[in-house]
Amino acid sequence: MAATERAYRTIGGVPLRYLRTERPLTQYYARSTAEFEDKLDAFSQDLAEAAPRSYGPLLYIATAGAYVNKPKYHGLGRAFDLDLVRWEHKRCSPLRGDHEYRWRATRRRYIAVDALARRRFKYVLDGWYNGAHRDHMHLDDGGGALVFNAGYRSDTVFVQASANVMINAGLVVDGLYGPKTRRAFATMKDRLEIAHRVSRDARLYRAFLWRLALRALRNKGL
Amino acid sequence: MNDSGDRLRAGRRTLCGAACALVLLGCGPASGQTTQDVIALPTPRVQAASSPSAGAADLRSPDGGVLHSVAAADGRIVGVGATAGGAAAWSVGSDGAWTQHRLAAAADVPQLDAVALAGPSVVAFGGDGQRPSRMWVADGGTTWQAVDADVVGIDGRVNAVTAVSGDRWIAVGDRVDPEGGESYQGAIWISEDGRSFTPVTSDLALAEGTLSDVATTGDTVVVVGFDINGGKVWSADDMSAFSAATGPFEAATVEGVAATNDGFVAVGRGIADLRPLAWTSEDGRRWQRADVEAGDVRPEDQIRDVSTVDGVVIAVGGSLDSSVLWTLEDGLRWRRRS
Repeated sequence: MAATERAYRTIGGVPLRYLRTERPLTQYYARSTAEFEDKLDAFSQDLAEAAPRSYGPLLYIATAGAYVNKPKYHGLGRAFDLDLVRWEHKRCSPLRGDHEYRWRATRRRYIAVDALARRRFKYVLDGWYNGAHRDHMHLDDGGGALVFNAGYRSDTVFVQASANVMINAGLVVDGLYGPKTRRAFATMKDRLEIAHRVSRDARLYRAFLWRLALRALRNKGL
Repeated sequence: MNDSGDRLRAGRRTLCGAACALVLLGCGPASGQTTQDVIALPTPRVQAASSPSAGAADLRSPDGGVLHSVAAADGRIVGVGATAGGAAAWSVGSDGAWTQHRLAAAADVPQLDAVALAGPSVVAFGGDGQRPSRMWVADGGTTWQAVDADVVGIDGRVNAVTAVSGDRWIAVGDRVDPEGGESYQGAIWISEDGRSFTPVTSDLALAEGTLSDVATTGDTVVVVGFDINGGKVWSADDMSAFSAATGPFEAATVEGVAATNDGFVAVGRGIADLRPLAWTSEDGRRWQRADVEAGDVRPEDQIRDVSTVDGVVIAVGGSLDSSVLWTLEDGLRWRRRS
């Protein structure tokens, strides 16, 4: 399918903006494959549905870029760089580095957006993944099935960071799936009442991510 | 990607012996621009000495092939890219048609991405985009030989290469995240012999970015690229320390650069709307927007390489499975040639 077969200014009906200019652009035309746009639409709908009523409606989503002419998934129209999610009364700003913000509620909100992204996109490179992603979240739909993969650094750092923010696990976020990480992950799954098959069952992993997001958006630990 | 430094210093010799100059005019806002991004800076006016030579004007994409990169020097034109069968390389014969070359040890290589030539020597890079690029060389022969990766010394993905002077070459590209294959850091490599390359240690700050192209004229080297914050351009004298160039590159990608008779031209797109953009510079250090119309370049077209052939700026690209060649007519409008 063509990398730019779809051009759109909204995802899931929510306007897209570009903030990385002196005067932010209030209209941004993203381009992608049709399938990828459908995934973005679903992600946007998840962001709206999972948020508590106190957040208000989703106002806009800011992107650092979708299709751009460079190798791999951005060039294939299957990637999206997320800068900010703006509800009426709350925001989640990877652009600001919310993954390491001083307030736990803000870090939890980042975890929630991260989790919701992982329900639709296999590769989510977040602020814990490496320094190149300290100010945005990269989403693409390469990489296979939507299950947890301990061999993927991107999956493991998310679990480690989530465990630290949600259950005070005190893990080193190093991307190495060792016994401490395994135990913390098991604890989170138990508290969310998810069976321990998330590395094989995509439905279960998506349910884990959804329940995690619901708690995190409400600033509730596990 | 552009002519070799030797060729530029000696003056331009065209395929048909006709000198050409590129016209780049600053005429104010192009249609479709918003007031937010109008750059009201005049650009130098260079009059065209004559129409583009037959060589550049007749250039088309090879039959059954997709061009990813083109290089021209001393009357020769070579191109690389892919066919349905994988990586491919061509050169233009005396009849103006592309002739495909044999690539040794390329059975598992999907495409070639970059090519440069100087004298009889040709250097090309390609690969699968996930692992470090591999290199092929040709010294006047019809078969392009693969060079052992341990000799080449490239530790990333090469997007462009050019000859600087004599046997010196410079390649640019990026380092690739092993998990997702996305570029995360720009990279530059230099070679003194056209065989082995070593990385240049330079502060090229890129955030999830890529270096897309390189061009030289005289001793000045210009490297272009982009990241999530917009376009990036650096220049260096004689491949020494690179420094950031100044210019209106925000909210844009810079995807190609070529040397012209008046300095350099860079080509890219607006991030928000994929509108084709261009910038010019006399010295590679200070850049200004050039008023260029999209013409036959559609938002869905990829621009893979920008070069000069007979003094005419050409771009090659297209979609994932189609090849297009454009020429920049009168320095203003992209015209599709194939």
